[in-house]
Amino acid sequence: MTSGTIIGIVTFVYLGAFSISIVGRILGKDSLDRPSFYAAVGGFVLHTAGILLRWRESYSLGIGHVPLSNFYESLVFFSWATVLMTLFGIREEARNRVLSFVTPAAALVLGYASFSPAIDSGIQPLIPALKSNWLAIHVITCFFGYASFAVASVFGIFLLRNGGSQGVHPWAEMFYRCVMIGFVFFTVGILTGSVWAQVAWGRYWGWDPKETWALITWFIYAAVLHEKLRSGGVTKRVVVFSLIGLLSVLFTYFGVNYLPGLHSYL
Amino acid sequence: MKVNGEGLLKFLSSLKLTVGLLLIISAICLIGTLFPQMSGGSRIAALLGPYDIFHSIWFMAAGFLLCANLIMCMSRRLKLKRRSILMLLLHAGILLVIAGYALGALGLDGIMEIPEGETVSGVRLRDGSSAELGFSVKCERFSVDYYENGMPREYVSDLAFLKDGGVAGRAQVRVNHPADMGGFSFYQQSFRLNLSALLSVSDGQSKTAVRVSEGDIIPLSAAGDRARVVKIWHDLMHAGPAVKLMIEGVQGERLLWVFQNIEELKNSSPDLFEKMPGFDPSSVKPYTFACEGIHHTFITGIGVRRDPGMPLAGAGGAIFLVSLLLVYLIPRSGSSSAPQTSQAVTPRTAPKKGTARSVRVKAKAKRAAP
Repeated sequence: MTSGTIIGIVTFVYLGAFSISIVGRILGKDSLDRPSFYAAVGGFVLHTAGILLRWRESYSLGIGHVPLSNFYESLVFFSWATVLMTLFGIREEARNRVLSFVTPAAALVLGYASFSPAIDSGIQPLIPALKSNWLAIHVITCFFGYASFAVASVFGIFLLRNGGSQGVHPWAEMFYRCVMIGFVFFTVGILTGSVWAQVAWGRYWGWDPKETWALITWFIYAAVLHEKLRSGGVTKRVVVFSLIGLLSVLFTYFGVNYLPGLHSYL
Repeated sequence: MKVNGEGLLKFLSSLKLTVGLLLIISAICLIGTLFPQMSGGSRIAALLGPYDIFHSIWFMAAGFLLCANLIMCMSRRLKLKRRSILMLLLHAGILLVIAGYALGALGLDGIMEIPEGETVSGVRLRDGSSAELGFSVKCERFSVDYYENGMPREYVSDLAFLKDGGVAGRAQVRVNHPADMGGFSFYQQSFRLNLSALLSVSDGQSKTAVRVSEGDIIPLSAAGDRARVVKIWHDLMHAGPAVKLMIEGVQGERLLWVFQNIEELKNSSPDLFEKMPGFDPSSVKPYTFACEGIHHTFITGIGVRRDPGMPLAGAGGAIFLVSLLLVYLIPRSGSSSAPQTSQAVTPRTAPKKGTARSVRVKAKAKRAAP
């Protein structure tokens, strides 16, 4: 079995986990929470195996490299990181609710990666620009940042929908922690990227569209943190800023590919 | 007056300004990615317009304000009893990065395009001007290596640095593997193929042969006549090597395609010159052109940089990162979780401690409004 087949199966396992949780919600049965969670865990284990197998496959092709080198591989890793954050980074009481957002999103991303004719899912050798030890650390930290921001947005949406309730809310703290973890990862991602740019192109910052959009995203989340500080809590405005931040993340990831630049391979 | 001054100071050190500036700078950056950025335009247009946004007065003014805001906030926090050294360090790191980036303007950033086997001493800067390094660089060899599927595997330039008639050093430069020499760093940035053709021109009395590249101008024997080399092909329309010439002179302008294999082409279709007069090498009287061969060489594009601000910016980045990790990832004694850290930074929110983690969303009526 190839890694591509496994990733294809994972798509349906995540969809299954989502369906179970929806059925549970409709029937009002909490007893379906566990099966839904286990299905998501099963999907995640398979997802991990798919990534590891792809890594091995690249070595058996004689062009071994970490599977983070093209758009397909980055989509697979992005969805993996988001599910990882949700399964192991969130307390049990909120986990299933977040999962019912994250599993369909992960399935959508994986389905797009596997079945879109525009995406080449083949294993290609590394072009000279990507042959660097900085590749793995740069991509992993950026995508963990993206994943944390995505999970933060799920909490943000929860908070907006429960906007009427006053007082201390555990989701507000979870929201804030996700933003912060994301900010730390994304900062490391930008810094490792600029060290790499210094090594590869002699210019740690070149205002390439991807770089500029990463900075925009970073500034927006910095604004989220400072706005929270200013207003003393997770206000509606803080949440709205973070949702704008997620749009910026999405543009940094997908939209920039339509602008010419050095990152056009990812 | 005094009140106004204090009001200004308060504004400059406010978080409101911080948040506003962060969003304004984001918006300026966004505009910058929508317009193609180019340097070397007119000075005024660069300062005011969107085409060189990261050198525009808008961007710089916002940057200056952000620095002022940072400094004011830091100095205010220095006076506090409960101050966080880490938070101060973190923001000082950002100031260092900005200072280092600004210092980079004093450095050098350009490219040397060196044909294989040749020596170049000038660096073409980004604004189009050129600079001398005090030594010259020779490309002894350039090679491109491909994978089986045709994707490039490696670009390699073997460089020699020449000074005072001798070799001061040699280095191999690959993508991701630069070399340093004389305070400058040299990077494999680009390459292109340079085609040259051996052309012969006869005017019925004498025959001359010249080696030409695209863009070259060949003077012809009659006064005022000349041939400009428009393009050179390895293989034009499966008919082999060819050179496109623009003949300029008293008779006006004529385009001419000179094929190396013109005899064979003529043999396989005898009415070729009737159908395509521009393919006839003798169609511009009194000249007859011939292409004797095509030769290709590589021109390697070596990025040359010196950035005196880089160590400062690097140090700033490192300080920022380490303080950020320490602030957020190490639980502080006496406080339960990370959100507490924020209160150390904003004394103004301290009285609101009870609501620090609350979701305070304005009345529903306001949300319902369009």
